[in-house]
Parts: sequence; structure tokens; C-alpha cells
Amino acid sequence: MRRLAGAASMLVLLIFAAPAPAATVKVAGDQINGLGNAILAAESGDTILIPNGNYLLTQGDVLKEKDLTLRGAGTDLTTITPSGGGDALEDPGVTVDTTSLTVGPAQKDSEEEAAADAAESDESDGIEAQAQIIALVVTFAIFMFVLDLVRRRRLAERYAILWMTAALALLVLSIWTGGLDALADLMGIQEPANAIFIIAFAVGFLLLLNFSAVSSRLGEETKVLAQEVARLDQELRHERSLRGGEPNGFSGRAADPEQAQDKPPVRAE
Amino acid sequence: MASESPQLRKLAIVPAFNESGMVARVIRDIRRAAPGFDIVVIDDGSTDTTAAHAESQGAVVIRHPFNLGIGGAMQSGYKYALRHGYDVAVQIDGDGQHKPEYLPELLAALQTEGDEADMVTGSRFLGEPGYKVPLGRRAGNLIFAVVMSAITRRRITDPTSGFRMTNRRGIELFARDYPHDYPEVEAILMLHAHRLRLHEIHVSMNARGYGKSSIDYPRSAYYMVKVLLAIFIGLFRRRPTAVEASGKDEILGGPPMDTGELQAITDGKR
Repeated sequence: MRRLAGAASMLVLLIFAAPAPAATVKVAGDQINGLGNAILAAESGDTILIPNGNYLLTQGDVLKEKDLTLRGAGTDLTTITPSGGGDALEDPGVTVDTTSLTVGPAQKDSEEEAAADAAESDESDGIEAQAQIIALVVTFAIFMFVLDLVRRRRLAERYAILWMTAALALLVLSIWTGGLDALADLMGIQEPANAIFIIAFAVGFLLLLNFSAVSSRLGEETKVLAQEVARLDQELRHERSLRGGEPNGFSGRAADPEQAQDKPPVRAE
Repeated sequence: MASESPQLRKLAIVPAFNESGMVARVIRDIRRAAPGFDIVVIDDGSTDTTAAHAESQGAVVIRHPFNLGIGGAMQSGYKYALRHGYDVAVQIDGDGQHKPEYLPELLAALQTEGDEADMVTGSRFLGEPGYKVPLGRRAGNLIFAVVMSAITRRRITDPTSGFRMTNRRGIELFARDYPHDYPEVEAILMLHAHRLRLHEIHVSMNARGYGKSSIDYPRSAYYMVKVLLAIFIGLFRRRPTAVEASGKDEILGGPPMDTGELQAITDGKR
């Protein structure tokens, strides 16, 4: 899409640029600085002729500003290697005569840009098959593990559903890579793998939050149970002591008779 | 209530966790200073002989199967008070920090204040605290005091004091719901939310409680944050009783109390 637009604008530019009188600047000097110097020396609209060799393309900003045309001595003879992202070559004002030169792969000056480029080149073919197979195997294993936990009654069904949904989502995304790309696009994330990480993080976060809530409730319930056990224990000891047997050394209180009266029977609820 | 003073059933709730060295003395002191009080010791999962020591003094002992923390222990005590129909309950720490000789004064304040007080707290800071309260503790207490005074629009000088006596309404409230850990400040907030009234009288305390305090520096930071958060959230909670909200009356584990009485209380809350 972008390339088409670039080509179209190039065409438009060629049509409009053609009538304008433009000088031609020849690149002189070494392959590292020559092209950059020529760009600096050129006037707006000039054409830069690049001789045989692999020239490093620097001064991208100036190139963009001056709307220069780059022409080589032949696709198999002249190569230009953009330093940095090489985005100047895609500037609508800049014309690259690709019939006379080859644009080599850009020199990476930072990992970030390299990664960005990699993402761009990945967009077409998604996750590699190898990673896809691993993802398939792992998610399938998770799925089976969850099922097995349920089978052995180690995991309540409602949590099983939760985890199996998560595993299923992973499975779907690892098979249907287009879905992942679409998802990444939707979220404005260049690298589909990052989209997976973010989604996984969000899901994990919610699960943990849910478990915190569950364990809070369990703690509350456990507290009530412990209090009840303690109460029943006390009442049992009390009853025993009233019957005269004092197996655990409980010595009754002075106020006991009165209390025995209003002590409610233990209800079986 | 003051008129039926002789018939009042009064309970001292003594939470104790590994206090075998102190608990017997605390019980004896309560007996001597306030013979009208029954005593229930909540042994909160002690691993020592706290329960045996308490039993040997003739106190009722409720033994938690494991440690629930001071909040859970106090609630057990209030549940006991509610089930056995006590009119007055007072908390006295099992570590000997609280002096039972103040019990009559607390009781008198609870009664003479009549409709004015549902809970009377023994405050260290209405006068001489009786021991050197560490600066950090004092500062923390001051912060809570300012915050709680602002919220309740009453002068509260010692919101962290656990030496407090409450009437039937307070017993019912706390039996239903009691804050989990570091409960004192939150409990005041609960009282306020249910329109129960607080009153403070001056007491001095023993330093004994502090020497073994569970509140060291990292914990006191947690304490501050936790309690302030609880206060903040509590402000947005109209009826702060989780138990009530879920309608689990049977959580008390026994027969429900007199329904008319309960109705009166719940009506009063709203």
C-alpha cells in the first residue's frame, strides 16, 4: 500500500519535475562520504549521478529537503546503502531512479530500528512455523493438563473453564496468525509478539486479581469457621464440666449455673 | 440502663496469643478490680500453655484452632458476649497493658453517659499515659486521632487504644463484623457509620504491651497505610458490614437474637 503510494507520488513528481531545469551533480570522493558531500553541494531539484560502487547514503534530511533525484550507472553497478532507516528515499520529493541503481539494505544504527524493520518484514509472513509449532504443542499440553486436573478433581470446573479459555485463545492465535496480526494492528502495536505479551499480561493480571478476591473471601470464611470451631469446643468442654467429668482440667466458673440455663442448644444447621 | 445496673451482665474479653506468662495475672487482676465481670479468654492459636493458665484461673477459654489475629480474636469474644446475652463487654489485652482498675470507671462512664456513649475508650492521651509512649507510636496515633476526630466530629485522642468497653449495641455490631488486623481505628469508624457514640476517659497503661508489640517499623508503615486506606474506603461504604450485606445472620452460628431487638438495631443504623 505504502509502496504503491510512493510509486504513484514518484510518477507525479517525475511529471512535474521534468520541465524544471535541473543541474546534474556527479559524486566525487570515496564511497563513504562522497554521496553525502554531493547531496550537501547540490541545489534543490538537482540530479545526482552516482558512479560504480557501493555508496553510503548519508545526509538523508538534506536529501529530503532538496528534493533531489538519485541516478546510478546501472542496477548491477551502483548500489546505495542508506545509513539509518533510509526513509529519505521514500520521501515523495526524492526520486530514486531504480533502473540505474540498487538500493541496498539499510545500515542499522540502532537495535530499535532493526526491530522495527524486522516487524515490518514479519507482517507478511507472521510468526515463523517453528514458533507456531512450539506454541501449538505448549497450548495443547496446557489444555490436557487442565483437563487432567479436573479429571482428578484437583481443580474446580469453574477455574478449569477459565484456564481452558485462556489456553484456547492462545491456541487460536498461534494457528491463525492473521488474527494476531489484525489484533496487533488494532492495538497499534507493530510487533505481533508484543500484542500477545500485552494480552497475556492483562489476562494474567485479571486472573490474579480474581484470585485475590477469592482468597479474601476464603480467608473470611476460614475465620468464621475457626471461630465456630472454637465456640463449639468451648461449649463442649463446658457441657462436660457440668456433667462432672473434667477430662481436660476445665474448672467451672462461679456464674456457671445461671449460664447453663440460657445456653442455647447447639443447632444442627 | 443505669437503673438496672445490678442486673447488668458484664464480660471482660481477654485476647491472648502466647501469653502464658501474663494471662493468669491479668485474670486475677480483673477479678480483684472488677468482680462483677465474667471473663472470657480468647486463646488465638497459642502454641504455649496460655489456655491452660487461663483455665486454671477459672476463665472461660475459647481456643482458636489457629491464629486469626487480634481482629478475629476480638470478634470471637463479641460473638460469645452476644450469644450469652451480655450487656457490657470490655476488651482487655492479655499482655497486661491495660489496667483492670479502670474497669469501674469505664463502666461508670458508659452508664452515666447513658444515651451519649455506646463505647467508652480508655485513652492514654487525655492525661499522663503512664509509660513512655515511643515517639513514632505517638505520631501515628496523632494522625489517626486528627483524621478520626474530623470524621466523627468528636474529640478522639487515642483511636488506637484497645482498652474499650461497649454496650449491647456495640456488642451486636462487633459480633457481626469486626475489622481484620489492626482493628481499633476501623472499629471506631464502624461505630460512627452505625451512629453509635464514643466517649473517652483517661487511663494510664503499662508499657508491658509495647515491649512485645507486633508493630515494628516496616509493619507500622503497613499499619498506617492499611488503616488509612480502610478509613478512606470506609467513608464510601454506607453499611460497612460484609456479613449484613450478604444477609448471613447464621454467621453467628447460633440462634438469632431477639428479633425485635435486632430490628430496632438495624432500624437505628439506617
